[in-house]
Amino acid sequence: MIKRLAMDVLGQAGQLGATPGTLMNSAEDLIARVRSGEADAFQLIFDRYSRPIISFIYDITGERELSEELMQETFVRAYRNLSTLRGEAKLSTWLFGIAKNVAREHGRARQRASRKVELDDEAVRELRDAGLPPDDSLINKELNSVIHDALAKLDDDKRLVFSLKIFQQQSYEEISAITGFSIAKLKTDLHRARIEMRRLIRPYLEVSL
Amino acid sequence: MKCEECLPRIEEYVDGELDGRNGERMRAHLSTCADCASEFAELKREQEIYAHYRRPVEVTPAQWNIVRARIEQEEDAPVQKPRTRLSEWFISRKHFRPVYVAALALIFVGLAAGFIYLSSLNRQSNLVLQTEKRNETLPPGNSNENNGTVAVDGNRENRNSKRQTPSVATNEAATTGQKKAAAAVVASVPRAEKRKVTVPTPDDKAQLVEAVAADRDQLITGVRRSAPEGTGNFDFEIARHAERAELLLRSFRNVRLAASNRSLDVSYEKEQSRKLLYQNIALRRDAAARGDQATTEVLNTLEPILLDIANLPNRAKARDVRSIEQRMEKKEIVATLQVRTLVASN
Repeated sequence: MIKRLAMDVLGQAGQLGATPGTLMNSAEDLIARVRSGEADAFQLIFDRYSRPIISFIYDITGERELSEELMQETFVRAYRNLSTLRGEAKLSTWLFGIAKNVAREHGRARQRASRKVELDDEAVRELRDAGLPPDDSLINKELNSVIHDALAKLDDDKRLVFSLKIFQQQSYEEISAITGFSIAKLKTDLHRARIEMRRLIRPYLEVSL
Repeated sequence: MKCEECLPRIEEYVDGELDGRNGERMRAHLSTCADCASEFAELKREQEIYAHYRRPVEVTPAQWNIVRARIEQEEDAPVQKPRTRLSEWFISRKHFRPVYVAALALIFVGLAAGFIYLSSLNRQSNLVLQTEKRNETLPPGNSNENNGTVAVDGNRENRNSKRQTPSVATNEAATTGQKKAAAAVVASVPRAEKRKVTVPTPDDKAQLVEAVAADRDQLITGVRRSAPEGTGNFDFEIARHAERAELLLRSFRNVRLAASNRSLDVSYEKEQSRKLLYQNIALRRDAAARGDQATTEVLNTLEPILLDIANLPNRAKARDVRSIEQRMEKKEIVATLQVRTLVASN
């Protein structure tokens, strides 16, 4: 029984990219410790959630350096607003919500500043199609690139829902809490995102697997 | 479970969103239906593909150091409330209270009323300024009302005599019509070189402007109408004017005798002097135009004295009153007027 509980804890922590030394601290404990003024507790929160948060932001923005910057902003905002976190809210859900807001705010600002480069450009497609048949390492690189580009082609809502469900394994209710979408809408968006992603990556499925 | 029921929910099953009973039914159907099982396998395969997705991002200790530095910087800095858009502030139920709306409405009404009041003040001030500019061509006594004072230097008589020639020329050109004559009268009045104006209240100013304008028009028009071409009527007007001026100057001298305080109330004399001044100007010009040098000389002597009295404040200093009276004695103006009245009446 004890072994099974330990495995559950390990499984949960591993899912969120936990680091050694953070397993004995539940999210509620960490929040309480931060609120009581223990500075190191927030570092534990950062260690536990920074990886899924930066991945999620990267899925939305598609840029590495920007993702790092926005991840930092997410945690600064989280620390600033930790007092507003209600007891029943899940810490990861709350953090994803902040990350979503940070990324979208930046996206709106950037959209005003400049027009996004279209990935449908003929030149880009030609570059991608050219080249020799890939080996295994190249297949992985190519696959990463394909998924990245396919994600970029989804509209904002679908990309948001797809990332939270497929990559971050958030439940429908959690996604609803993060995005503010109804369950019906997010189901529809997720279904359509799957179809679109399938269409975009299908040429590479047979090669990679 | 049938395929029609299974396929629409198969994604939920893959996502782990189906509860125990529905999950069991789905599992049972997939074990017996090859098509639905194939669809399920496709979804699982995609999941595996996505599970291999690697992003070129990593979390380094340096990033935590940046976050920690920013947090410490914010803690050291003075507390600043997060910026909130005004629309969000209003939409927020926490802030959207009727009392706030009422308070804002009151503030708005107050600001609007203040703006309207200031605008009206500004308009009145502009009106007074325009009138004062226009009155710069009039005798200073014209703009001297209530507490408004006009300081005139002591060399007025000399200046006045120097201005006689252009005044006559102007008057000759103005005989073609009453309107032109009135304008010439206005233009020929000596101007004060030094003017110290104490600004009255806006309401007083507005009333003053209207009263002065109406009074001036009435006086000048009246003088012109009552100054016919015939010599007899003109002499009669001169006699009446001289009589009034004599009475005014006697009254002015009596003010000084009756007063015991340092400041003297000359408001009545001041008002009368202002009225007589306009008559004096018109009559002096007519006399000059007729070539009546004697009358012109008398009126020319009287005019600066009337001007000085008109320019006194309502509560004049005894020293100023004494100065005017000394000039009256020196010029023997009261006696001259008395003689002129007698001559004209005979």
